[in-house]
Amino acid sequence: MTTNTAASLVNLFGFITGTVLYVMLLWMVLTSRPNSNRLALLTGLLGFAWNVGAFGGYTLSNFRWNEAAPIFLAAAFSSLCFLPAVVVHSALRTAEKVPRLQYLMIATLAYAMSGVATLMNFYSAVTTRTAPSQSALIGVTVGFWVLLVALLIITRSQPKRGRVLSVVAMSVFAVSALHLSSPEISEDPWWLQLAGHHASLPLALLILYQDFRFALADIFLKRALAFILLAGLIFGMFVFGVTPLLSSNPTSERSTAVLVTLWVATALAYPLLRRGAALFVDKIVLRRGDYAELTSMLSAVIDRCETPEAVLDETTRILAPALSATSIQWLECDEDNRSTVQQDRHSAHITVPATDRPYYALTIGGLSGGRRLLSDDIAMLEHSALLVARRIDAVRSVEERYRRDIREQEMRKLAAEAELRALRAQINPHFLFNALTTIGYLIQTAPERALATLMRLSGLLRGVLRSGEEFVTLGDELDLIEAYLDIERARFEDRLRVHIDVPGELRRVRIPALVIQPLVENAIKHGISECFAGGEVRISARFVDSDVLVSVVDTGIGVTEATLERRKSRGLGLSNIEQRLRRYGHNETPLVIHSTPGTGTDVEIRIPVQT
Amino acid sequence: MSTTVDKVRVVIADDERPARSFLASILRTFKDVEIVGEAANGMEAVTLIESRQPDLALLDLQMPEVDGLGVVRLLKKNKMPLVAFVTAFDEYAVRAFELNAVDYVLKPVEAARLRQTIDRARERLEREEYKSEAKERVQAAAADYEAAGGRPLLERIPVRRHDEIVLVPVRQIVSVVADGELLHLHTTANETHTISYRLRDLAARLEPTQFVRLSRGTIVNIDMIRRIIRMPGGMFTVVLNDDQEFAVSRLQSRLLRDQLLRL
Repeated sequence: MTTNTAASLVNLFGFITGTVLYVMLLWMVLTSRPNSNRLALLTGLLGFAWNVGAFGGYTLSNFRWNEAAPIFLAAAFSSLCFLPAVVVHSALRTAEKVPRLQYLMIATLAYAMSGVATLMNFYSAVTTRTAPSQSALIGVTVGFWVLLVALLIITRSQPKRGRVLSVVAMSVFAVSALHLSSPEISEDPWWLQLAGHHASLPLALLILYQDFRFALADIFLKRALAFILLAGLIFGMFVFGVTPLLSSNPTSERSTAVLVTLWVATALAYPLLRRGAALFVDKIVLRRGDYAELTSMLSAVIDRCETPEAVLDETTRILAPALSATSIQWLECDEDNRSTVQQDRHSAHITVPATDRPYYALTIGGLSGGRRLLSDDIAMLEHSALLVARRIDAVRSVEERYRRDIREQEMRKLAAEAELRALRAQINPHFLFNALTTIGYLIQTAPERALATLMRLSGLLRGVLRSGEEFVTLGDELDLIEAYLDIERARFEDRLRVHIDVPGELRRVRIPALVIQPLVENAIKHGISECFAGGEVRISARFVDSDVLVSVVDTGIGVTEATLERRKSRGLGLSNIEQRLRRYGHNETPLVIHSTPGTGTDVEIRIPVQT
Repeated sequence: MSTTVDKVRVVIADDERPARSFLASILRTFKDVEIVGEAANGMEAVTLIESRQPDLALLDLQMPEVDGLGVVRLLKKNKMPLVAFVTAFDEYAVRAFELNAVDYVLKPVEAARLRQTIDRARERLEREEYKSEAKERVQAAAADYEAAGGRPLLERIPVRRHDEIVLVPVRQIVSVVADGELLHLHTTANETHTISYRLRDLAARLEPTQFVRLSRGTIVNIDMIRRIIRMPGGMFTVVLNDDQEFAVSRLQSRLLRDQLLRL
């Protein structure tokens, strides 16, 4: 029973694994490619047929239902015989620059050999009731080895030949061991059964590994490895523990206890085996680190970076060793491929899905050991890209806010400076010190007038320094002007004459503060004080349409056009007033100056009335 | 040679009577000071200083037509007293005075500060060489002041004619020719006046569209140009309405061609 049972177990396990593998291959071929490759589909079908057929055949023969078994087995072996032909065909198709004639010859030869072997198998099954035909298997083995050599020669200059030829070699290997096992099942030792009947498993694995590597590793490899280990364990226990025990003393209580213990141990071992298998696949086969830890570390590191560039630099620094890549670079890119990973044979590209331009892409190059990125890697990369993108967005928004703050601060500073400058321009220091000199003189000669002038000066300063109030009534402004004029009159005495003509109802109109006073000050400073004999300043206001027209006329020295331009471009009082009036009103020329040298100056401003 | 000064004789000039009176009232408290005259403007100041020949002139910097610096320019060199300026507020002027060791007093004038000015004047008066330098130093300060501050364009230039001071409107000036430290102004009335000014400083205060520089030493009124003659070598000669002829320098020829002779 030992050999027989072991062989049966191997067959059972092998055929089930084979069926699963080929079903998986079929499923992959059918789902992964929209225009599915017919030859790949055929490969999967044949492998599937072989495993199911052989399994069915041997099961039937085990049940001693010998009538149907040879036909089943013949069909199964024929499927297997066709497998290398199909693989050779697809190899020829994949290979480039194979001359048409050679292509046809080799493909025809391969299918012909498979066809002949099939005929021989069925013939043998019908006539001698044994299947497969031993000579057919030997013929197929020899024939395909020859074809393999031929393919080797034909494709010797092909770049991708290694990959193709390995598949062919594997398919040839799948048939070449068949003839070793005897046609009578259950007579060979289990290892020969394994080699003979399950040489097609590596082929399925190889195809899956090459074409559907992610799926293989993720879905299959870990679980399959765990199952294989489990099966190996059970098999070992069965062969070396249970069989001797049962053969010596099958019914003792001790053997029952041992069996139960083994059963429990097996159940307990499975999670461990599974974890071990996963670890093995990750660490040894795929050589990758713990991605959960990696991404949390990445997140911690990039959270300390303050610029997008630094974030990307750190990311590449961390990801390179984890992916065993020799180079990871980042670059700016224009299009936004929402976090998709594109990979070709030697490199992979992943877009960082930042919210705003410029976008970035990571290019992972020089993956060592022929490594390709698996779904775990891609998931990790996508996760990392997302982390990086969020960080970049955060950095940018902080940067943006910071920049905006700075801008605002600058604006505020400029505004404050402008205000200060405006104020300084209003409290003309020259005027101030001259006023104080005048007061000094008055203290000596007319203390009462000195006090009155001092009060006027205080009122004037208060009015000018009054902050926050952009608008005042025309009356307030005129009060301020009168205070100013009083002081100037004390200073220039009879050289300055003043005439103010503003109707009472206009005094309640609201106007921007300090737009008239500077004009009066200009009239005195540039007009009257430059004149030996002095002159008159005349201030009047009237309604024109919905604006108030204020004119300040002096009979001072006057200026030429050129001097006026020069004074305006120096940009002190006049341009300030003009800008403010323009901001509040709709008039593009709110300030008009006429001046005649030797006669005087006439300034007219149009003030929009604030209701 | 050193002389002892009994009383410092002072002339003050300010167009604002209160300021002038205030200054005078302080000076009167000083026992060693004698006010020999008060002027209400620059022209009066020139006449007064030349007739009374004071030791010290306290000149307001800001006066109509002829300001404090103008007074110094107009004074005859041998009638030049020591000068201290009085100003309410003028950063540029103050800097120029300090650079050239020209004394100044700020308004409102403080007695203690004025005392220093008198003492300093007294000290200088006792050393003859200081006095002879006075005009140079003031002129240097005036030049610095003109160069630094945005001074307004000149509308009239005060000049001496015999013993009186005349204001020549700039548009009546035909040409300005430099002669050492002096400038000769030729007017439409066919008169020539000499002023003490640097050509560079005067040019900065003349309306740039009205006057054109012909060479290092010549400025002419554009409206007074009658003909421009092209000379061999790309240079020009300018003939004015009053038949004066000026050769244009190579550099200015190019500027003239680019600015004036463009159609």
